[in-house]
Amino acid sequence: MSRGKYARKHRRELENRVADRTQHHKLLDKIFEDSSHFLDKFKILNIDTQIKIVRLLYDIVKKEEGSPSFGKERFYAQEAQNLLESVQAFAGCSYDTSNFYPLAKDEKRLIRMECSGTINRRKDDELSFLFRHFSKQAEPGKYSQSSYKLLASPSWKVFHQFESYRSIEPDIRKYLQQTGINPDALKVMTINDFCEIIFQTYKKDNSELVVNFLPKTESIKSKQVKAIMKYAGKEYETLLLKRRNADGTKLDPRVVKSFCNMTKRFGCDDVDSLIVTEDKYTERAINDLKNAGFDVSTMKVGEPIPQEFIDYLIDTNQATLILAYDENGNQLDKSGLPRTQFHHNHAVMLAGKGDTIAAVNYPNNGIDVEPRIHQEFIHLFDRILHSGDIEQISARLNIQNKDMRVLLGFNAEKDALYCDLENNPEFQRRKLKDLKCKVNYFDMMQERMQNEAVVIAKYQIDCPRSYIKEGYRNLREIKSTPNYNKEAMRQIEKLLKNQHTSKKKGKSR
Amino acid sequence: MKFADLVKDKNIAKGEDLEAEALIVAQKVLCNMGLSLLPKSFTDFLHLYNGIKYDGIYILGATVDDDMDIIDKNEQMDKPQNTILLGYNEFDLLCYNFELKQYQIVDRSDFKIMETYNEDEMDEALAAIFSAQ
Repeated sequence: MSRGKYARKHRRELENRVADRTQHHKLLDKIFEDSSHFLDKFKILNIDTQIKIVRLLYDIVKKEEGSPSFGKERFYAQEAQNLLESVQAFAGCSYDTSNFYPLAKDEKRLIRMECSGTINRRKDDELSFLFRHFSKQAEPGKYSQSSYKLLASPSWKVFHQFESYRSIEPDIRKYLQQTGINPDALKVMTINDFCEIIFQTYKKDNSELVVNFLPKTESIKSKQVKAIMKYAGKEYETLLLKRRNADGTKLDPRVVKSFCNMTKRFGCDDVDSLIVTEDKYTERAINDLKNAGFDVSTMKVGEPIPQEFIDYLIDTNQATLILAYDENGNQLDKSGLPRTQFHHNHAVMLAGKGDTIAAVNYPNNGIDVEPRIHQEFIHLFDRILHSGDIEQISARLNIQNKDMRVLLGFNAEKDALYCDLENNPEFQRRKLKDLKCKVNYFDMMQERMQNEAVVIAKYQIDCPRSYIKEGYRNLREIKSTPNYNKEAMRQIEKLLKNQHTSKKKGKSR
Repeated sequence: MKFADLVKDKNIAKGEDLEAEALIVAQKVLCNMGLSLLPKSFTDFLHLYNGIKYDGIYILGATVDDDMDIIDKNEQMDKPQNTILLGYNEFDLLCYNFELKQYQIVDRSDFKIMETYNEDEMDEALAAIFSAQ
């Protein structure tokens, strides 16, 4: 890179953002000179130019929102808004400002962790004092694994709503048994405490910041990729065969076949790690196989290579023996393969309104989107709208067709793949199970507080001032919600009062 | 463990090596935008990785790559007040709150603060945005 390129890129900002209005207007004139045929022209442009146009239109609309103008600029702004809406409709999206349902921070955290299959180390001050108390008293191996009844824990019940967390329960129990923490601790542990337990269960060494608690092939994205291939593999292959490489040539069918095989088997769509293999024996492949010690007596040039044999070579790291080459002896171009990003159609914030919060990570809520369309188009329209002093309303672009699973360009007809992942027995079974595990987060937190009162009394634990203060704050918060458990809150209030009084007495002595 | 160790085996794309001039430009423009200077721990990190992109996760830098350009993204994306956007993933933003002098992981949909980290805990903040939690 030549020096000073960044400074040149931001020359306008450095010069106090004085726009080159003439050039700007010329481009706008070109867009607006025949806006009735805008979409026809837009369709045939490459994605870079399409993104540039979207950005330009968006900037005009945003500028107008900030400082309304008159004359030509106002006309541009109105026209730009119409054109943007036509692009959104073309991509199968529409702007949504309704039906938002806020989730608790803990619930959001669980959704994120399940989605990535990873967990971060918790900071000490994020752990509850009761958990720290019981951790200090732990006696490794003292209790049996069956003593750890995870569902006796209100916090774990929040985790238990998700299939992924249910799947790690045996590992968690095993870890708890090894550490020998008192099983009564489960009843009072917070979501953060359990995050720490999961982190400790799966950490390999003490220096790790993040650990995977799910195998990569079990992450939400991998599961979704596999589901697409299972239910719409043929359609996806057809969609890919229409794509072109960077130099304009069509994607080679061998590239598409190898890619589909990788996604289907491993749920992995990382183009860089893809090895494109021959689908028919070639002279070179037979020679390489022979040199590697394989019996090639039955292999004939031009005959299909059995898929089981291809998979065997991949699994045993020998796929390069049947690496595919073009007629010039070069490796095949895979630049036309999509590098997608996982997009949640209904945001985390929308969850909870439906049946279960686990639904946010369901395959039928995920769409694999071309990265630029994802970041520079769909998320471009994310908004936090302030209404009054406190209330916030979010707005975002949502895909209208619930069956859209892949979006590789702006054209919702030609660049997209549709597949109903909701109405299959596998999915329905999971949904039913999730519904059975559904709990209300705030109910669980009340139950936990109630347990705290019991456990603190049972073990005569001296609470720190910070706990009493925090307890009063939580109490006030819960009392302000409708249908709170009055008896439970009375018990907690009594406990806090007792602890507070004993602290005061201790001080006066 | 440093955040740099966490990404070293990953197939990440990174921005071009940081030029002193580019960092000055970024700092100057961010200040012109009514924000503030970047925290020292983050500028130190930029000398190592001047922007990172990996599987829908972005950490910004003073780079000409539009996807990771800290100036572009601070202009384009919505973020809470008194913060500089330093990175983002599908769910969250990584911001530096220059009033409170702390790194924050902020929910993209409602700006709720999910995690806070002191200036000396930048590695933890980067790891949090990188693991999409």
